[in-house]
Amino acid sequence: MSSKIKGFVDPLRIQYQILKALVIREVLTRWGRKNIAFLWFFLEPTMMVIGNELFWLIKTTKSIDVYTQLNISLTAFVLIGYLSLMLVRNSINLLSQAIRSNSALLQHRSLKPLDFYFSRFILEVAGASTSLIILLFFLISLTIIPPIKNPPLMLLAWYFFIWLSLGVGLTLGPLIARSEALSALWRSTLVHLLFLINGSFFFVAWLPDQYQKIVLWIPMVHISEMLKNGYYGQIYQSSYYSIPYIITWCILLTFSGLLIARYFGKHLPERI
Amino acid sequence: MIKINDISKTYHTRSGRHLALNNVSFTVNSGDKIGILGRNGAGKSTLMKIISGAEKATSGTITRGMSVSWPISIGGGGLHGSLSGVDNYKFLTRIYDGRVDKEKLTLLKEMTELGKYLHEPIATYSSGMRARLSLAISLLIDFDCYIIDEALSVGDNRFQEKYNDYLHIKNDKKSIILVSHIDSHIKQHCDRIYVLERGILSPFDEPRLAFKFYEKIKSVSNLNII
Repeated sequence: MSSKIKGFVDPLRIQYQILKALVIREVLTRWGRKNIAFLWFFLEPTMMVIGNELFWLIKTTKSIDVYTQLNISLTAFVLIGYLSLMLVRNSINLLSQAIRSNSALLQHRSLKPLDFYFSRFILEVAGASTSLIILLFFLISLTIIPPIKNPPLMLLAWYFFIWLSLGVGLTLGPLIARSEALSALWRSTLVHLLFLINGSFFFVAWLPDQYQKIVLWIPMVHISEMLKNGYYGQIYQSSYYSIPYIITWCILLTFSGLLIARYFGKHLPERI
Repeated sequence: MIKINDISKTYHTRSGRHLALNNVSFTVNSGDKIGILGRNGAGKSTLMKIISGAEKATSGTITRGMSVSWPISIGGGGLHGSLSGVDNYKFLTRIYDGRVDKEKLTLLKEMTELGKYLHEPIATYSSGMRARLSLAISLLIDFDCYIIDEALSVGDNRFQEKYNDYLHIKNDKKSIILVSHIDSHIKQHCDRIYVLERGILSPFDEPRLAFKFYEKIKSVSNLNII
């Protein structure tokens, strides 16, 4: 290999090695080596989804007619809504604690704060995605929920959710870690607000016109609409998402996230 | 060779700026056994972190022409508490771009004498056990230069002798930077000695003079020293 190529490939290989080591470490510290160990990375979200399904089923038995009238599956509605909500929420939570729980490892020159952020994020995405695929596969095979109408659209929406979560996590995570006030605000209010503004549990078409305009400022609502459109097909006459709008937000948030993560990476809480 | 050139480090504290290192310069050549003596709070740990690259200096430059270990310390800094000894070994080997193999795992068992504790989380280890694990892992990764922060001062004589062997006889070309507040450890291992006091690193022509100077600053109260 010429030295020029090696000089480019080698850092990439080392970076891959570092992220791999960190992901393995993360799995080991979270779930240990015993019993089913690493399988928890997707069993955990899966079980949370199932728990939520039961909760919704009990809660909405009376109004379940609404969903039957619309001819959409409530089970599927909760499944895709909850997993996408969880991806955004967990990304923020996990990235806000990434540095604190790894600070002992900052003794090593080759480990940078961004490595901690990325390794946690990779694991989160892998868990949520595996869980989504497995649950969809089983529920569709068992005909509990109908098949996906437009798989490419749904896949693209899921991909946008991943991208947006990275941006949001990198932007908010370090800020929450740094500020006690923001941390309290996040845990007490924002995390619950996310439940509403993620767009997971409503269709924009259900809202009156003036509210539609407001919620469509939120990028998550666009992606949620896209995800539901992918799964159910076009139920309502107009579709309420704009791909350019989503991409613009994703790029802006990734950019701000990288800047913030870099800044706080350089200004870690100093120890004497 | 490692060239440390005019390093300063300032920390921001609640009571204002604190100058932890003040224009520190020295060079480590292949095979050097360097001792740095300093009392608590003299800036030893900060200097070690900067040499290893774990922290950045406020000003000055470092050129590293050889591979440098992380600061190996008594508490086992750089190890992860909830991982077992073996998993720590695997993790560190991976991030320092080494290969994990069975032979080395057997060696790790021999070197650390931790037995079945190697498979327990290191949060359950004593400081001596952690120091042994840290040292053994770093020796297996095979660095050119070892930064050892008091880690040799724990353990009994047998432990000391064993690691003397590893660090000297088996590693004649290896460089060592040994940091301690106890001069006897440094006497035993090092041939070039510096004294770090209030962030200022002083070189000495002869080890004898360094020990004499260190005795003096230890006996004089803080306020009288510049």
